[in-house]
Amino acid sequence: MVISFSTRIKQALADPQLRSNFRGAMDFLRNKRKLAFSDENEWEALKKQGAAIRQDAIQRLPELLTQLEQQCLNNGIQVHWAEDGQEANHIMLGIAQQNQARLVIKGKSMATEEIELNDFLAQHNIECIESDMGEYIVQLDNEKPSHIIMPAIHKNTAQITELFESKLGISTPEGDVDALIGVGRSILRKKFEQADIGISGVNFAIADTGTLCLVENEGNGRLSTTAPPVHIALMGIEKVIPNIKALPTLQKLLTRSATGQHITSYLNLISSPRKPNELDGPKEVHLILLDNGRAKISQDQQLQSTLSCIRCGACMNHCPVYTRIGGHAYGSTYPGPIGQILTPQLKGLEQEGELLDACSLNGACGEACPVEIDLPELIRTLRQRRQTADHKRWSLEAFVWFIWLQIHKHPHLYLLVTRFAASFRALKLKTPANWTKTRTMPKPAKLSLHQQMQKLSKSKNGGVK
Amino acid sequence: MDSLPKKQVYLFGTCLIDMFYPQAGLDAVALLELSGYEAVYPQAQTCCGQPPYNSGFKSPAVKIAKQTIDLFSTQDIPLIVPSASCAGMIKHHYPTLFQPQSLEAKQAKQLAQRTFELIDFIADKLPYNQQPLRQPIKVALHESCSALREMNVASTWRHVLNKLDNVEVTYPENKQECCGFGGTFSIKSDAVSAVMTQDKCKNLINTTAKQILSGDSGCLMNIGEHLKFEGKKDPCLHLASFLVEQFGLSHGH
Amino acid sequence: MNKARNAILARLKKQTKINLPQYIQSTSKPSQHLNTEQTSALFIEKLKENRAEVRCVNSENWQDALAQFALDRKLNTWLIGKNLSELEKAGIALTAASPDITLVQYTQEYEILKKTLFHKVDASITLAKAAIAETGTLVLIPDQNEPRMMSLIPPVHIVLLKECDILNNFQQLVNNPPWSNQKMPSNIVFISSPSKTADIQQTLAYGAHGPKSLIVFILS
Repeated sequence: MVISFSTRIKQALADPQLRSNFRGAMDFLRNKRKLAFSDENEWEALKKQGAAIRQDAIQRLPELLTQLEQQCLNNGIQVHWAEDGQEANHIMLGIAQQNQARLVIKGKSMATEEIELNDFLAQHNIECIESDMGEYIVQLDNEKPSHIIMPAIHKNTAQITELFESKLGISTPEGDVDALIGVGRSILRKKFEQADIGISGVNFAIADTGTLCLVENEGNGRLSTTAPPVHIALMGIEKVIPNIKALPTLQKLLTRSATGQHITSYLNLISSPRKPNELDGPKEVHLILLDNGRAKISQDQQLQSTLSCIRCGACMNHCPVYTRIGGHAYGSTYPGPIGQILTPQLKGLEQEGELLDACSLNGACGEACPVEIDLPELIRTLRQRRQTADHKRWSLEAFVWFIWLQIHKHPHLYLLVTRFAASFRALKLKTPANWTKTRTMPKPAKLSLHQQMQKLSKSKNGGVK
Repeated sequence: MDSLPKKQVYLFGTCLIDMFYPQAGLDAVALLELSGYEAVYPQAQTCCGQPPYNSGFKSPAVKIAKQTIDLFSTQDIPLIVPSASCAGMIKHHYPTLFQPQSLEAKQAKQLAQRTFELIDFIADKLPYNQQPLRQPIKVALHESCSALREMNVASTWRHVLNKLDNVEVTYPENKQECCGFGGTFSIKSDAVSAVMTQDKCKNLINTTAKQILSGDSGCLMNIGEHLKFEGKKDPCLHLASFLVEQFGLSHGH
Repeated sequence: MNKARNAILARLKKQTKINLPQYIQSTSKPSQHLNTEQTSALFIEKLKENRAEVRCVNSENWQDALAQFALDRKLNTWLIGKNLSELEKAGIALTAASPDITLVQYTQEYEILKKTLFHKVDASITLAKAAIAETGTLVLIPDQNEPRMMSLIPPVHIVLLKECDILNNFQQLVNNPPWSNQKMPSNIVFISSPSKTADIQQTLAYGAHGPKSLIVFILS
């Protein structure tokens, strides 16, 4: 049974623990980001540059991806192309089977969530363990991540302590975060030792050197991509950048926007597998270039900027709706504003268009976006597309706005209608009920501004303006 | 003072003010007069078109926009709007509604260039030194999303209030957060909107300010009607009306 | 797969081009022009902010400092690289400090040394090729002499850095890198703090998966 978006919203709003966890987390992340960008001039300069770099890259995707492929191949990295998630999963499976892999350890990759890799591998009897602490916690509880940077943000320490006790049989002192991390560290360490394959995402791929760039704080990313004999990196095709000179700006924007850090503990640049005289590093490195709807987005002039996204999470951290309903309510890999824009484009406006309703167009997301994606404008554009896409469903609302247009296009009609305040009630359906659940109805004024201005000009000039 | 011919400006009242808060419109006229301007109010004005536009219905919005642009293009004078939200629609969105390089687009740009949010327009023109003695009063300023992000006039609102010596300005916690109105959002996404509105109202009440001020009637309506629903008094007042009081003018003529 | 590649590229080539504002390549505002002293001071400040430890040493005393560090922290099994004179000197200083201290030289493949690396090693020492002051970042280029796991598996990681190798900012580094872009090293790692995470209720905890302690010996 599928629960509708509006039901999931109501459930989330009714959950005081969720509300409190997200409120605390979002306030925390927003403040950290604000501190990191305290120099207004620097912020303006950085994001203009970041926007330019990303827009330029998106405009040159075929050229840059071809160059990236060539350079990677020169470096000994095997390159695969996947039109959709299924293909990507099968490529992963092929590599796993070639290596008789039983255990896969994952760094952190939202793209692998997008293609539902873990479930796919499980169906083929390959265990896939998450090594990022947040992802590990979420996996333990059979959940999906609720935020693209901090996957377990919807849980507090007490809930995680209880989870470790019930699922692992390991007790830790109340409120002892260090102890919990220690548990994760020792369990996952064994897995790093044993894993046959390590899978990661890619934050940026440098085209002219064939280099994969990964940022992280924990070290699990480096371990996942260094310990197992095979490393597979899954990358959305939009993540390519032209050269290493673009990296500093993008790195600054990414880490400061995501967690308020000027740089993460580790920035890892991978250009090849273990070279002949080297002693460690994976013997095989694979890069899978994933389309899954992105190329189609690049064809669309109005929606193309969706691809500039560097997956920092700032938009959801600033979204007053996300803050209150949390990530799971969106029911998609990517939540918050970017999720509302990406998901309907990847999965179809008809199925996912409803996500677009949960937005007041307040603009906080667009203001925070480090690569200047005009997120509110994209939401508006998608709302337009949705309206033209499904004529049957929208005929009622289209009719309502048609009536609205007639009234507002004809000043005499408008004057007539406003006098009887009919226009408000003419909006039918849910309109007054949804308002009056929590607000009183505003009372139309005895004399409208039109009428009063009319009187004013008459008394002044003795004539009508 | 009366002998000096005043410069003329257009006044776009906005549909909300027209129907529900005409006093704010009249107060806008009074403030403009105080600042040396005569307000021209074409009777044929209706709405800026934002409601259908934000909902994804571009075509009715374009038609209304065209009409509005024509109406306010007879004279090349500033267009004053007592709402950051509607001002933003005209100033930033009208030019994007038409084919680039078309005549309509050019006209839209021309109008956009002379469109101003009310408080922003009069901020440096009000005769602050002529403010009569007034009782000290504590107010809470609600900086609407449009003022903060689209029109970038929130700092001007603060600036104007700070120039009034008897006025103490406070801000709600999480002041940058949307009040939950968002036009049709309050109807279509009523559950979240309600919670956002509750939070905003709670934070505003916590300031213990006597009045809640803003330059956007939509927000004031959202906040005011919710407070009334909770059995409280409606302490909301448009910035224009507040300034009229502070400058000792009378409401209406 | 060729089919996928061709299909994807074909789709991408159907893109509508948009007029973009002029693209500015890598404008780095070189902050204020910092002299060596200021650069070092900034570097140290940033390292400390991120919970790395700093020891300012010179060519005369660094070996003693290293030995003392090993004794103070009771670190007995040291992972060390090969074929570099500084590492030789470090090894000598460490083994001389105490009979309990042993060296594990990373001379065999990871698969063979794995158990030792994960279960026996207490600390490692590596060199840094460069550093970035604005973020307190060390630049390591692992290779056959100092493999990747050296700076990753041991719970304590010491880095030897020459003060003159500290650069102002990241942009400066990539504009003039200590590696060849034409022949990229298989791995370059930028390290700015011990391993950490804030995944549990945004509470910072150290030693997630990488080293719990990072100590930088700055050689003037």
